[in-house]
Amino acid sequence: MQKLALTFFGFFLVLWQGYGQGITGGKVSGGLQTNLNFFMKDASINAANTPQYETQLYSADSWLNVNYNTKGFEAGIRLDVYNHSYLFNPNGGSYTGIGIGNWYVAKQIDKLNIAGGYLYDQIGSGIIYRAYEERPLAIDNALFGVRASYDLTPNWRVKGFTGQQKFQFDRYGAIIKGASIDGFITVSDSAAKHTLTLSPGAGVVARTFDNPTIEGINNVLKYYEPIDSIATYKSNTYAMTVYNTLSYGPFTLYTEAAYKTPEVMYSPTEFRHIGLDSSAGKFIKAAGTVFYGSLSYADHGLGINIEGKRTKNFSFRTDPNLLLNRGLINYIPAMSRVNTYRLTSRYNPAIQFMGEYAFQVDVQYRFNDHWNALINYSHINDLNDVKLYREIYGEVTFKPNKKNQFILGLQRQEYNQYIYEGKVSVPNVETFTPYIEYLHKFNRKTAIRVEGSMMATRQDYGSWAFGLVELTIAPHWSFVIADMYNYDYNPEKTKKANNYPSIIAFYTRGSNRFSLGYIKQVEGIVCTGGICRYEPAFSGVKATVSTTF
Amino acid sequence: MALGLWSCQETEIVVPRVKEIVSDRVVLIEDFTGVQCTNCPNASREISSLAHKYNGNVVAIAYHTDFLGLPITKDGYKSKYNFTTPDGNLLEEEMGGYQGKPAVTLNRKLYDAQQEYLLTSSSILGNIESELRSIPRVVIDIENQYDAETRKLRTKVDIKPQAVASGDFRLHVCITEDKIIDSQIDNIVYVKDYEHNHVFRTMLSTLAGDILGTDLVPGSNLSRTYEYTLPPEAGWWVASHCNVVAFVTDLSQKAFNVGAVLQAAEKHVIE
Repeated sequence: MQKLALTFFGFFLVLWQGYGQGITGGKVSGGLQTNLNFFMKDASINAANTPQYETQLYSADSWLNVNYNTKGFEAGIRLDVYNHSYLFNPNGGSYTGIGIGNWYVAKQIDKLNIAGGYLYDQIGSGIIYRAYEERPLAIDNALFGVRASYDLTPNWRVKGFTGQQKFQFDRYGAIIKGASIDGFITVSDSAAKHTLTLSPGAGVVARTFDNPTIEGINNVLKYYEPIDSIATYKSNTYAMTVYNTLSYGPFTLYTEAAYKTPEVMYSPTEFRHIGLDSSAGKFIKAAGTVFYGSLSYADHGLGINIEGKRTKNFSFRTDPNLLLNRGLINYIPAMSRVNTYRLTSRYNPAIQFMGEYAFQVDVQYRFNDHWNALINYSHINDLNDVKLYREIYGEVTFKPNKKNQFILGLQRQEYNQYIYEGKVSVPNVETFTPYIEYLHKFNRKTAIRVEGSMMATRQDYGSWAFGLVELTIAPHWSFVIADMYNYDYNPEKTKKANNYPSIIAFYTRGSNRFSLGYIKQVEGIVCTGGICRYEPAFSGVKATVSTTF
Repeated sequence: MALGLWSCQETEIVVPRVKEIVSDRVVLIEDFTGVQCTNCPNASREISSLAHKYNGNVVAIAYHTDFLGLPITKDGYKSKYNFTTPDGNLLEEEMGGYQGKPAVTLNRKLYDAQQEYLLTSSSILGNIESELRSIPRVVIDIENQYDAETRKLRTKVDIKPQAVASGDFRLHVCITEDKIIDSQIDNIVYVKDYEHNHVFRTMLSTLAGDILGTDLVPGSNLSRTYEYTLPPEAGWWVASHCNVVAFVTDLSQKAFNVGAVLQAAEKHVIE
């Protein structure tokens, strides 16, 4: 595959030179992101017992991509480097691999756009199909194949694609194909105060198992007891969706409904019989549905966003034997606030593809130039009404003048640790987390930001305090000193009240950014948009280099 | 609707049923597990189920290894025993290191170049039938003599080649123990009186296997004898729950530092 990619690019460059335009005729862009970890064992925080801590002492993840664009023609290539990486298996795995992680070509020909290679894309909000990259979560499920889209009119576009999903430097066997149509309609009424617009769309995606995948499924199913057995299933699964965005003045309403034909899926919470015993996790065969809607209002300093969804049996993967973030074909929008402070973001609810009923209300109001406030409520249950997640979040921002800004907030969370982290015999985590942030600008170049928060909880690791000081000397330097302290610790989780200090320096010059820091980090769950990954405890030095050109 | 009609045209895949297999082949399933491993009892039950389905053709060894194998310290569920052993940890390293638990091997083979040595329990299901259908290149007989008073065990292992073969053949002999009652995290709960089976206790041969030679010839049987005194019974090391497991590997067929298993056998210390 790599030879193919390099040969292709060599051919493409020669060809372009041959046309007498040269590569300088277009625009070259790209970027490098490199994360280096130097491990320093600390058994007291469970940063030990992995190959990285015991013998390798070092890991690197790096991505270098170069894109070329000229006159409707686009091409890109990316080198992926993983040295002793724990991205793909944070529970002690160590992966080394170097190669072409992505390449693509695309060309606009009149109203037709064609693309081939590793393609990122989505239909609607992603409920039936989303091919995307999220490096911190080790997700790169690009479709290796071809795509064509055609503009029927300036406001209507149809799209179709076919290929296989990427995994590391390989591909899964199943074939994924799909098509969608998206439009834009303006309903003008000269008498109306606002313009009504609609952005309707519909899509369908089909996944066809390959023979090794079918064999893998059969090899598991044939050992099922009669009470759990699945006698037959289909090689093809179809997922279809209809969606629309309606905008009218300050209101925006998004609605989407999706259906998936019956297929074999892995349900981690259902029990499979084995003789007289039973084990958690088994294959089931069922159809799936998702209903999702969001209504937002923004005007006169007031912003309101209400979201709701109901998911049932909508795990859609290239292979049902795959677990965690592997082989995901789709994405379902998360229904909780994206928190950024260290303690308020410690517990995140991951999307439950097999069943979830959730809603979220977010209200923000800007009183005047000095005062802002926001309040958020998130509510997530499973379909049996078991409480999975609750969050109440309130925040007030006070900006007395251009030099000073205060943020004060309080978060209340209830978090089902068994469902989200698979931890056994543990109660739901219940937290109260007040926090405060103060920003002072000494002058146009220098500013200091001080952050303090406390998480009071009797569950998991117990209560935490967190403090951070960030000094920014624009345009180049930034220094962060922080500490997270397990002041009221749970003796079942840790033997002492651990400190998790970090000290990091950032240097930015143009689009180049460097960082170097000594970091101790407690284990936890890292999420982006409700897709989560276990992040093990860390002790050591981290260095990063990132640039775009 | 068109899709629905189209979908109806498709021929459904019929899940095959497990077939009876009559074979002299005895396969070895090694389970790298731990008392703190939430999902490990699932693999253990899967292996027990296979041993039941293919009665006499499946031998299992459960190695409790770092760090999920370390004793439970939670109040009320503290482990009585530490099942981890240096040999178990070393063997796991030899097979490519810790990649998450439960992890199992079938005959110490790599069935797919993409896969690791240590597989999920469901991965072995795809290969066990073909392994059981293969003709064994050796047959292993175990004969145990146990003195209950002195707790001395004398084990004689006879290896009978069934076909001419060349390689680097090794004999591995160890003791496993069933029915050890101790704590285990089982899916969503701590279980205080979980029954641990096939627990690896000690090697009688070397971990790397005792050298048998480079050629197997039918009629030229090989024999090895081992003597071992069982430690005093203290809730475990119950002689009637102990088994001798023997298996032959070919080190010339290796991907890491262990050879593929040609045949395995198991016999209770006390019949």
